[in-house]
This record gives sequence, C-alpha cells and structure tokens, in this order.
Amino acid sequence: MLAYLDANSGSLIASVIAGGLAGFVVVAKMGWRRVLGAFSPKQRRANKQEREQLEGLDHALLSEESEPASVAADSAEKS
Amino acid sequence: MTDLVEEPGSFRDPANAVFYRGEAVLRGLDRQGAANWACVRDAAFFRDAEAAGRIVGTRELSSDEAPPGWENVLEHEKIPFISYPYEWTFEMLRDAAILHLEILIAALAEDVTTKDGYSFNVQFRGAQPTFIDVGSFEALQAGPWVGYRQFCQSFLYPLLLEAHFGVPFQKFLLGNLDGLDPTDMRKVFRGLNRFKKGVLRNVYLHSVAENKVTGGGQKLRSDLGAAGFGKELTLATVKKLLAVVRSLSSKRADSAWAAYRQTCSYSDDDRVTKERFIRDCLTRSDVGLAWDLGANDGAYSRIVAESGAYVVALDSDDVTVDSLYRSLREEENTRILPMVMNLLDPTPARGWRGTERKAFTDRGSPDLVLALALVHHLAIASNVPLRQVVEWFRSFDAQLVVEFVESHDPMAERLLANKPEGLFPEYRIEAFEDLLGQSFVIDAKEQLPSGSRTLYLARPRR
Repeated sequence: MLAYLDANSGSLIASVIAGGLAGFVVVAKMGWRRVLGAFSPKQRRANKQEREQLEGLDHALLSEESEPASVAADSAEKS
Repeated sequence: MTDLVEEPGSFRDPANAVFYRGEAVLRGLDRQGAANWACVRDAAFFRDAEAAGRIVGTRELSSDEAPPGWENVLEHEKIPFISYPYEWTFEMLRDAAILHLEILIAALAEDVTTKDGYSFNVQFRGAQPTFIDVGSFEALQAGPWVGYRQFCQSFLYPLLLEAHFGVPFQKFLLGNLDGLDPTDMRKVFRGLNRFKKGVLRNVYLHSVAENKVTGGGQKLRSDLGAAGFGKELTLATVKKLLAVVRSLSSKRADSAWAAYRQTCSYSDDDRVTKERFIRDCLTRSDVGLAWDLGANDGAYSRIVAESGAYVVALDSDDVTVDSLYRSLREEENTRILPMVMNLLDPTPARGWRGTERKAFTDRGSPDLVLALALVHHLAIASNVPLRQVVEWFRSFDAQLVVEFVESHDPMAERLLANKPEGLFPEYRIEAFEDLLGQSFVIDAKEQLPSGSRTLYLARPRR
C-alpha cells in the first residue's frame, strides 16, 4: 500500500513532532524560517518579480484565483 | 508464463507486484523496484531478520523468469494461510506493529526505509509475525518517514482504542481498510482523554497539523532539512512510536468464553473420549490444512497440529482468541493460526472491486474441518436451520469432525432457556444424522460418556 504517493504534509509535520523535543525544535525553526523568509530581501525581490509578471497578464486571467497562485509558487521556487 | 495469476491486492505500488505460479509466490520488479531490492538484498538487517523468520523468506530468480512486463523477479516463501488485521487480536496487532517498527529501526541504521507503514505488510505463521512486503523497502530519502500516518491509522489507533477504552478494534478495521482517521480519533479522545498514553502527539497534534498544514510537498521536505531535520529524528519518531506501542495493553477480560473450559459441562471422561476420537480420525488420512470452527482455547487445534497439519483456529470471541495467541506465542508455535471470526458473519471480500482482500472462505481449502460444540450455537442461539448448517459444512468439501449436543445437555438447556418452547422441533439427533447422511458418508460415530453429545467423522458424498 503506497502511503508515499500522497504523503500528507500535516502528517509529515506530525511525525516530526512525534519524535519529541528535538522534533518540536525543528518544526519551530522551520516555521520561524518561513516567517522570516516572507520578509527577506530575496523573497521581496521574488514578490516584486511576481507582481511584474502578473501585470503583464490579461485581466481575465488575473481574475482567476488559481493561476496567480501557481505563478507565484513557480517564481518563488525559481528564485 | 501463462499460468501466472496476479494477486488482486498488489496493484498500488507501480514498482512491484505479486503473482502466483502454482504454489510459488513471485514478486515482479520494475527498474525502480530492482534498484530498491539492490538496497536491501545484502543488508545485514534484512538477512538477519529473514534468517529469524521476521521477514518472509526471499530469493532472487533469474530475470528470464520475470513475469511479462517486469525486469526482475523474486520468489517468496509461502505463508500457509493469509489473515488480515481485522481478524487479529489485540496482542497480534500489537506484535505486528512492534515487528514493523523494529525492522524499520534496523533498516534505518543501514540507510534503508519503508515506503509505508501498513498493517497488511505483516502476516502470521502460526503465532509468529513476519514482514511480507519486501517491495516496501527503499533507500532512505530526505525528510520524515512517510509511513507514519498509515502506521497510526492501521496499527496505533486501533490499539489505542482498545487499550484506553476497552473497545475491540476489529469491526472498525473491517469497515475501514485504510484504518482509523486522525480527525475521527481526535473526536474520540476528547477532553482529558487526549492526555492518555500516546494520544497527545499521535492523535491530537497529528490531527491539528493535518488540518492546519496543507500543500508543501518537496518544498516542505527541503524546509525541514534546512531547519535541521535528519535521520536521527526519524529514528527518534520511530523509537517513540515503538515505546508507545510496547506500553499498550488490553485490559479486557470480560469474555464469557475465556473460562469456558472451567465452566462447561464436560466431564474428564468426555474430554478423554473426544481427544481419542479426534486422534483416531487423524490416522485415517493426511491432513495439510485444518479449520477449527469455534476453537475456543484451541485444545483440539493442538491435537490436530500434532499430526503435522497447519490449523486455523477460529473463534468469534477476541478475548479468548487473544488468550490462545499468547499461549501459542509463548510456545513459539508456528502451526496454529488463531483468528477472530464470527462464523455467522465471516469476513467478506473487501477493497477495490471486492477482490483486494479475499473473503475468508476464498483463502484456502481445508482438508479437515472441526466443528466441536458448535452446531447447537448456530441452530439454537442463532436460529440457523439444521439443514443450512449441514449445507454449510458440505460447502467446505472437506472431511468433517462434528459434535451434536442434544437438547437435554446442560449447555444446550442453557441456550434453550430463553427461547419460546417448541421453537426448534427439528433440533433432534435423528434429524441431524439424517441431514448429515444426505451430504456426507459417516465413517465413525461415538457418543460421549455423558450421554448427551455425539461425535461424527464424515466425508463429503460425491
């Protein structure tokens, strides 16, 4: 039976926490990095680039919620 | 290769699949599956566990023998009779969980992990659990153990349910092949119950994390890696799980059947006669597989197993079966498989297309069926007409040792006490013998010294 095909992200985090205090620390550090990452110059540049890309897109496309999100995810990964 | 039969329950992992060729159990491997196998075939943990019977015996065959479409092929030792977690007792599920985790811990030390944490990865040879899903091993990847959720669902949660609330888990697992859901379990373990052993982290926080954290995939793994996650944390998780599982026990001892041997109406003479009758029956033909229907403490299963047969000992009372399992485990018995089975509602086929997990009666053909002190329970307690009881026996197409308990027997009287008078006019030994004779040839018959019970040895009429 394949759990790995659809490893639930929440369960992955839960499994780390289940490892005890060291697991809590890792998850806390990861969360903190994510918070800090949102305000980092690198992330800001990525956000700006993303906005510029979006401005170039058709208005109708912008009105679709899913598309900008995926573009944002792509640009964040590339940065 | 035309005689290959694909195992219908082996389709979820594209890297490998199980096939049968006659009695041989084969596992086809694709390129990825072969790479995974290369990681474990010479690993010390694998060879040690295999030698100890903790992992199913496995050998690599020539790639010429691989099933069509597969690059390589393994042959596995055959498990004498397949059982499923919803047919196991508390201790069986607990032992299977411990085995899974111990093997994983040993594998992690050699940078190997398992792709999943499913209770169906384990089978029993008698009272010995063995890990069968060799295709589940793969090289350790970055990130947490992906089998954690599945382990919780199919092993840990059912154990928690019984250990903390005394609720038998079998029906829940039968109804949910994936196991119990973290969010459902969180609703069960409310209030102070969330502080019971193993619950806070593995149920409550698990459910919270699952509901709050979505998406992420590989990004999540790299984030965890950047935050300092490593193999030692996976080991810590698995070791903590193991400690929780080891600490759990079932406190249920409320079974009316657990002390049956002490409270039943058998005299010593009856017991001795019954044992001799069964031994005599066993001298008449070779028995490979026997089913003991309503096995209770397994006393007669043991006699049959002494003859060299593999015995599946079935009883609906999980506490009694658990007690039998514990004693067989102590003896390191590998010839008697105890299973929880309500004979009035035997395990049906389950899963995808109704073929993924087989019905009990489709998993093997017995040579001998024991039905001792069973007919009166079916006919009187559960109102099954005698004709249907005999037809059911005939459907096994096997030799039958059956006991008929007459209505004046104290145990039958107890069952009849709460039934309206005259409800079972056909429940007479003459009627039973007549019906039995229509479907079977009666080779032997003996009344027990108490005078209210009669044993028959019968073979199917062709």
